[in-house]
Amino acid sequence: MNSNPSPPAGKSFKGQAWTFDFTAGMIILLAILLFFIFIWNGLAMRWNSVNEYRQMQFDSLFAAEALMSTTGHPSNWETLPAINSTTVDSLGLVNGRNELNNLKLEKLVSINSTSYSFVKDRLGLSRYEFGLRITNLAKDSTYHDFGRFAGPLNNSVVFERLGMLNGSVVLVHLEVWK
Amino acid sequence: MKCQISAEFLVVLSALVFVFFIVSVIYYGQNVSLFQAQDSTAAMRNAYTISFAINYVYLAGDGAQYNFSFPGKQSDENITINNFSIDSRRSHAFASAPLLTSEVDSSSIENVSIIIKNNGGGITFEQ
Repeated sequence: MNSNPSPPAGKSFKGQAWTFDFTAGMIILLAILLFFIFIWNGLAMRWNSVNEYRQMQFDSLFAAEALMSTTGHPSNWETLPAINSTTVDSLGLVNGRNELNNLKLEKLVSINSTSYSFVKDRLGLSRYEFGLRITNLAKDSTYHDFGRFAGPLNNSVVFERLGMLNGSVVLVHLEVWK
Repeated sequence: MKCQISAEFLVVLSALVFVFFIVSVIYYGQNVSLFQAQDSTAAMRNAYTISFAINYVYLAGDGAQYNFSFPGKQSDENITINNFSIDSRRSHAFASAPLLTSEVDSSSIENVSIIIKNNGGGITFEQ
């Protein structure tokens, strides 16, 4: 018996796993893994942005409710000489629900340049920018304007509510954006 | 016959070990980030759940009350009430939700079932 056989013609006894098939398999496996990682991260980012937008909606809803259904605390905050964290606890713009108080609106507009951040904080909107506009129903006449408004490209949350101002129905436009 | 481990086999084995290592690292990283994301989501959900309840009671006006149950709270989760915010602090996450009032008579929420009351604009808890 031959103890050291020679391979058949055209064959080899060398290891044969390190072939084109193996490297191609590895590359495909890594490509699939990378693909799933990118998909996963993309979904996570999308889910985060949806979640942030929902939070912004909830925060905007409460801000709109606070403005349109409370007087603020103290209820005569518009008469105070200084509007800051020691004098005003919460902000509201109405005498009764949806019945806007013109003095409160004028005071809010007058502190636009000095107390914008404070107003945002008190409405629970410190993480966002916001703007408030009171117009007639046709939106062709603006009575009061406060804050900053988003451009057309911004992903903003908009609430439009009806209110009464000096005996006439007005549109209250609240816009929150980031 | 002597045992024969060819150079090709060693190369293939090292390639497999390397791939396995890479996959393990990726799996571990994704697992940690998934766990943190879950914790963060739960903290945010809890902070907002309580913030909704308190804000609704505040907006409903004097005399309003709400029986609030809170099944999602973990035993090691700290929920504190700060100036105009509810903060939820978990082992790997922190979340905050806004409040419309700072007149809340408690600085933390311990129980999973509480009664939230509006007494003249101030919020009180029965825990």
